[in-house]
Amino acid sequence: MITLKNIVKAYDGKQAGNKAVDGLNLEINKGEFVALLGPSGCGKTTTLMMLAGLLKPTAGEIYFGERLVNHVEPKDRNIGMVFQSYALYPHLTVRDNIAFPLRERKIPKQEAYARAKETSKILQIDHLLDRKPSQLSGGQQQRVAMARALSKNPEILLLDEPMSNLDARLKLDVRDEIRKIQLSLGVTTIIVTHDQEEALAISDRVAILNGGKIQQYAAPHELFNYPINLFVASFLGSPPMNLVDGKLEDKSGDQVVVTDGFEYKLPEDKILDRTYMGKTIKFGIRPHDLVVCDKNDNQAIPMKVDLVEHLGSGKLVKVTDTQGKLETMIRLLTDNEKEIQPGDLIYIKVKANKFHLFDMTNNGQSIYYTC
Amino acid sequence: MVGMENAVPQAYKKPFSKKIYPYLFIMPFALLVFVFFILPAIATVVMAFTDLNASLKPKFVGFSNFAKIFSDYNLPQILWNSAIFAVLSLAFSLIFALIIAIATQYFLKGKVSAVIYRVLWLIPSIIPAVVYVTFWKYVFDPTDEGFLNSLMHDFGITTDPVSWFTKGAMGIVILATIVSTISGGMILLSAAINSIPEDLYKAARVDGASEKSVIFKIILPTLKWPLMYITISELIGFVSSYFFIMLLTNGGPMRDTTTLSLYAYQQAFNLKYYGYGAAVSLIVVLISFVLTLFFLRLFDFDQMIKRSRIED
Repeated sequence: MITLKNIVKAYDGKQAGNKAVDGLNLEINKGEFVALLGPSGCGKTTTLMMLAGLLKPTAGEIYFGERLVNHVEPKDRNIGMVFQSYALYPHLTVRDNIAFPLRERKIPKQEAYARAKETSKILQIDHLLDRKPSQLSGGQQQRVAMARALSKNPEILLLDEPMSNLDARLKLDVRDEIRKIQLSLGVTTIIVTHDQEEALAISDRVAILNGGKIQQYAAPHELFNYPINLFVASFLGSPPMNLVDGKLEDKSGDQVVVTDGFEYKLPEDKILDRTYMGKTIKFGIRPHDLVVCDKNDNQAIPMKVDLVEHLGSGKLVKVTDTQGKLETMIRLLTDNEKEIQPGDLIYIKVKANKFHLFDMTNNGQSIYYTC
Repeated sequence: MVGMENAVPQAYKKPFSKKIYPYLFIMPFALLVFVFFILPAIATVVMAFTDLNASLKPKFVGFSNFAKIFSDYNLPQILWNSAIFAVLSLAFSLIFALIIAIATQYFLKGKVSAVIYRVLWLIPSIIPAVVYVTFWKYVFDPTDEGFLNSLMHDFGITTDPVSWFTKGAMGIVILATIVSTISGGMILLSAAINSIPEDLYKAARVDGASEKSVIFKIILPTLKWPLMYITISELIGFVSSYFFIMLLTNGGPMRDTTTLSLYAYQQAFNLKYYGYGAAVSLIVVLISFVLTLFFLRLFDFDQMIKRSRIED
């Protein structure tokens, strides 16, 4: 198990005092596949570098199992690492690249080469062993980098945006393969990525970082369905969640979300605490949780269609309220069969009361969700 | 001219057809190259087969200039001097350039001290040669006033001044030469080391690479082509240059520091045996040419121009 306790990393130099990582706590179980996900500058790569030992935390403790590793050199941490640029040694053959970490451990050449061959077979690159990295395609280089990281049987595999240099289709194959290999070897793996789809697809748990702090650390579906705050809610999902400014009000016993363009009555089975009344909130609904409904539906909200985009599998419709008072467009997904044109008046409702409320007086903490 | 009558009316015709433009652009430089490089080269070759001297009435003498060179009893010593000068200068300046480049660009990467240190090394190569040579002459001055002599006297190591130039003229010449040439190689090598992506060092640290492995498996292979360039260009420089030697010792004492190129210069411009001097300098060119081919082969230059193959 890997434990990070109150990790702080402040870089010195020009931006001294700026904390790249600011009080980060994380626990990773043995054999788990964890993704560090966040926008650029959120501290995810810095965190990975500290796990690798390439950077030393300014404060806090990193434990591998029971062992405090803050001051342990990378080579003594039993880790394998794949860099975004792959960082293959350009003047060594694929065989020598894969065997490099073994040779540096004074493992005899023959044995090192045998193990390099074995590892290369797992990654299906055993026919490329005599090539130089410059003679390989991007996908092949990526495999060599994986093989080099795995050749020493590491306890922990660290992946720094390993797929960001691959084309979209290859990415899908490679990520499935990485997951398969990880499961079969049972190696604890930490991947840094800014690609949410990638993170959600292959990880057991995802840590969403922003501003050097972990916003939420949970299984992918949980992050998606129960975002703990506004950042997580707006960061995950494509197209992103609709977030409408509003206020909670008590209208003759009914709890109502009042926005500039419409009002929404909260379902009676989930009554909020009275203290929330009058608070400024953001009302969040995922585009696929909005449906076009009949005019007579008692939850129907009239909307004017502004834009229709064809996504292939369906349509993305952007609507605004009939008076045009809403500051943001509301996006919803419909199927291809629905005839909708810009300028149409349609009625929409929230599917099965699936919505989120974020308390804007408390940094956008989630106060309510139904899923 | 069948069909020409139906052709589109002729547009404005440029004064020259398109094909001539590249040549027009190259022309001025081609002329300069011809006047200042090719003509002198041809003149030298022609001169080498004449007895052109101060009287400026050349006669064609065939290979007799070359025969004269090989029968010159000074030749073995001059060749030996040339070889010692070139080989030692090259070896030392390469090794020092390499050590300084690795030290400042790898071990002290990004440190201000490393930058200052490299700038200091640049000084010898940017001050005028005459001033530079005067400095060395002062250091090794054979009288009591000389820097080294007075220093040694003050520390009580010697009582009488040492005549440095009589004892080790070649050493002084080589020392002065390498100190001023190190910086050129150092800059090229530093730039090459600087081009190594940071990730490679990080990967090496994760892989537990020793400093020795980093230097021999990552840094040195990267320096192969710059090293080849420096080796060849500096070697040609050492084989054909005479300037420092002329200013420092003028080939002396006796012929102790006379190299082949200095000998060519002296024959042509001091003694006005232009034809003979030209013949000697042709030999210098020939030696440089052979050495260049040898080092191209040694560094396996073919490798550089071979294309890599990529399959998916």
